[in-house]
Amino acid sequence: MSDQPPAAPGPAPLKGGIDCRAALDQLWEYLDGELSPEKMESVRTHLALCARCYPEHDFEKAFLEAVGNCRKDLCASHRLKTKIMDTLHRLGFSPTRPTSV
Amino acid sequence: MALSPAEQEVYDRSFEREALPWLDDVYRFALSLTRNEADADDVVQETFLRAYRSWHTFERGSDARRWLFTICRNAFLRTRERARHQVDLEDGDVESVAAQAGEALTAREGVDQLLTRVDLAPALSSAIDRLAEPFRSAVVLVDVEDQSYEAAAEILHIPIGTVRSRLFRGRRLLQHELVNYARDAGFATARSTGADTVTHE
Repeated sequence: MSDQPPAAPGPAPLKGGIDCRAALDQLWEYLDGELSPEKMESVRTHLALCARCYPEHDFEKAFLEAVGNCRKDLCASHRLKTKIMDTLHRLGFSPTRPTSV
Repeated sequence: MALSPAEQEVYDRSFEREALPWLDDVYRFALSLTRNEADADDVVQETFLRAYRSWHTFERGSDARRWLFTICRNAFLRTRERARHQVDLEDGDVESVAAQAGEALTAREGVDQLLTRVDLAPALSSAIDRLAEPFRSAVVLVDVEDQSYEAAAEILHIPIGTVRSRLFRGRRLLQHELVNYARDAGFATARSTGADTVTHE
């Protein structure tokens, strides 16, 4: 075991050319695919190298997936679909099948 | 100008093929705006009526779902105007509502466990319903309906930077709701719900 004191905290090391704050600040845009290709690559590299930030990535990714899936089963009622088709029919619409939706 | 039978056939087939398949998506968006099933039904019906009448103005090859969402939002705004039922918050109020949502969560192991072990769909869906406008529309369009920031900006008639800020604040508000849910469900420790400021390197 080393007798040396722990190293004093210094500036955060850059990983992928960016520090942790920059990576986390862009994390949602990264997960949404809304960053430029260069910024996507910087964040991707940072996450691959940074043990502190990767759990943040996993958490936010799981969160966004949960939000994205929470209403997938929600559908318009059959009654509404029939009503819309009736309304469209009155306007002149003729579907290929009695119920097109 | 009346269409010939052949033109009417083309008109109807393209509407049937490109617009009608999005009825469930439009319904979900309408319900997120109205938070009331009967009102959502009315908005969806109005949306498809207007869409059919205006189908000749739809640019072929563009995104029909985005186009329908735009009509849907306009239909909702018109019904709300008619009812003089103001539910949106002005931007100043929005700032104060969102102030608590500005910070990222620090220790959120309770939510971590929730995300992996519990079906959060009912809790998240009702949390979305409780989100104030304009955060709710941004979250629903981008996170639930998979619209890009650009598409959401077009649908909501706001700059893309405003979509980004409303979306991010809406997500933070949802995460704060999840922390409360995790605590109530016995997943979160006192520490995990105590501090709300993230520490960066």
